[in-house]
Amino acid sequence: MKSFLQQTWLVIVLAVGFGAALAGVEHALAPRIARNAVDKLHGAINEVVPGGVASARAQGVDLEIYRVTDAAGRTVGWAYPSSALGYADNVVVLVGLDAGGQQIVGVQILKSNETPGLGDRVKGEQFRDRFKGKRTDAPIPLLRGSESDPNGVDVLTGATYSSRAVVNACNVKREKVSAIIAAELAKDTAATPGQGTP
Amino acid sequence: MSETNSASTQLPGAGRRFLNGLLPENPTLRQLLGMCPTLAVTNTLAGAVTMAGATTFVLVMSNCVTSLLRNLIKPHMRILVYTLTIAAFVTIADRFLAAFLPTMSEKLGPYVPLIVVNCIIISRAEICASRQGPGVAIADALGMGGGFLLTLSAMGVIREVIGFGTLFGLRVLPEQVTVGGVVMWKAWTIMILPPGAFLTLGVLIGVVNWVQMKKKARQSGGQ
Amino acid sequence: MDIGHLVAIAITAAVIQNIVLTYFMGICPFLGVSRRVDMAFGMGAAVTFVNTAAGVVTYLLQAYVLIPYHLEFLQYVVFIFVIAAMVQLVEMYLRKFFPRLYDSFGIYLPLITTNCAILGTTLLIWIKGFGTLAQATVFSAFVGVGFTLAIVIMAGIREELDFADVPKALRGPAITLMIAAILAMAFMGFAGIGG
Repeated sequence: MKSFLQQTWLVIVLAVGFGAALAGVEHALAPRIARNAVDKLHGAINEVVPGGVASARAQGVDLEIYRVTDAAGRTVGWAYPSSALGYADNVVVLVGLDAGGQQIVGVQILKSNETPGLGDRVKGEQFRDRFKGKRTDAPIPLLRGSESDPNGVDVLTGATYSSRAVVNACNVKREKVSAIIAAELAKDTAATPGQGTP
Repeated sequence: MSETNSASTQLPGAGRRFLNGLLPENPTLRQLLGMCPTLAVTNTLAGAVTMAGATTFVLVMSNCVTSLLRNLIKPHMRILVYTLTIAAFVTIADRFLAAFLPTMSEKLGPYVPLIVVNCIIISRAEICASRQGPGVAIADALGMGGGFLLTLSAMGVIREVIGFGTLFGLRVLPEQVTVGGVVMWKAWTIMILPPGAFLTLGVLIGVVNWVQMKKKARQSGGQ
Repeated sequence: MDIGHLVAIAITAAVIQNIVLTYFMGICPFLGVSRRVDMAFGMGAAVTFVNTAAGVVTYLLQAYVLIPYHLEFLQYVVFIFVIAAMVQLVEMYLRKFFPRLYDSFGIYLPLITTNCAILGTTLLIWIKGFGTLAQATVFSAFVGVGFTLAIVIMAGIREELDFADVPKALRGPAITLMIAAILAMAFMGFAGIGG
């Protein structure tokens, strides 16, 4: 036992010392790191739902969805993150919906490892704007070549897989999100009769 | 103690250590250490510089601690002590990046924690810091860090300029040059992709080898 | 999650996002041990073995110890020591119980601790956000398969390269990296299979 301590006391002292130092650094920086993540999310939410000033995560539902309100506290829209497999990795998309949850008002790419210069272009406004005004009552089809559909989104040439990932991300939670929004809006009207969102 | 002293008289001093790290013993181009970050984060110059900065910080701290503890470390425990020290300082560097440069930290992703297994750091602890005083060890760390920065910046400049046509995100080359309806120049996307990384480093190492060979030939020719 | 999803993870890990050719992890053995096919295969087998074991153990540690006790900041320290300890254990275990197997790839085991592919994989499991142990296991095993694939192909090319007249300055790592560039381009062609 004594020789074990003789051999290892330095390692033990160092481990305890570094452990304490790391805990200190973590304690000092964790709030800032957490705030960075929150700021990033809220910045993206404000971009996908125009006119919103505040957003709060809907409570009691098993899905991450944010209600966006304007200065007067009225609901102007909803935003939720969703993801789908792209060219190689998951593409994480933030989908913005209107107050009734019936139309997409904006789309942001939160995270993607798509090829720079090719699939990466789905981050551009030119592609993201194609989602504006699309209805959520049916899945959005991805349009290739001469296909046409008023509710479809044209593929970005040279970025088929990445385009499909963004479309899939918008479709995958569609039904669940609609149900949650309907339930939340019903709760509003029940709580404040006459003042609910139209 | 007298042994250490007589040994350190034969080992290079602080100035020599610093200069060696920059070019003659450049960690990536000459010793082929730390290849993973050299290839992975150099598609933009900003990424390359941040990575080199973080690595240099860990290198300086690890060399400093190892050098101060060099007479206490039991030989067979040394790798354990080095690894513990390096992992601790890497965590600190990673947390600072996440707190103050969140976008960059996200972009560098797993490559900041991977500094833990960057062979440059452990090899400097073994070769220099475990035998020499903190002054020399820090000079050595700065030299090696500087050499690493030089290589990474060179890679970053080449890949960002050819691949994006930008430098530090500012445009230096036109995106596309069209002469009479024919595209004469377009940024080479391949340079920002993995193949571009391998190619650039391969060419850089080849060029350095070629220069060294010329130099050697000139020296032996002159004598 | 279903089998299809696991297959997609496996294909992505092994070829589309090959650990060596797209993540640049495990470059040191890729340059060092890729001179002969049999050596490369031994190294690949050792990496696959340790990688899978390390992936499973670090996943369990992170999910059931570090996260519940809010010790995520110790992740790097804990992971690197788990990997180092694992390599030691695997080496002892193989030497004692499977001496034949040990003879075939045992000598590569000590080199693995500093192979950044292993630490990289254990970190990527969390960066990619795999939610279940099954996904993490499949991912780490097939990252190892991808490593083996890349290093064996490279060794095959380098065996042929011995008969080629490579310019003197490019011999060794320089030409290997240039070949890796062409290999990486070839592997980019696999993209989309997993989708």
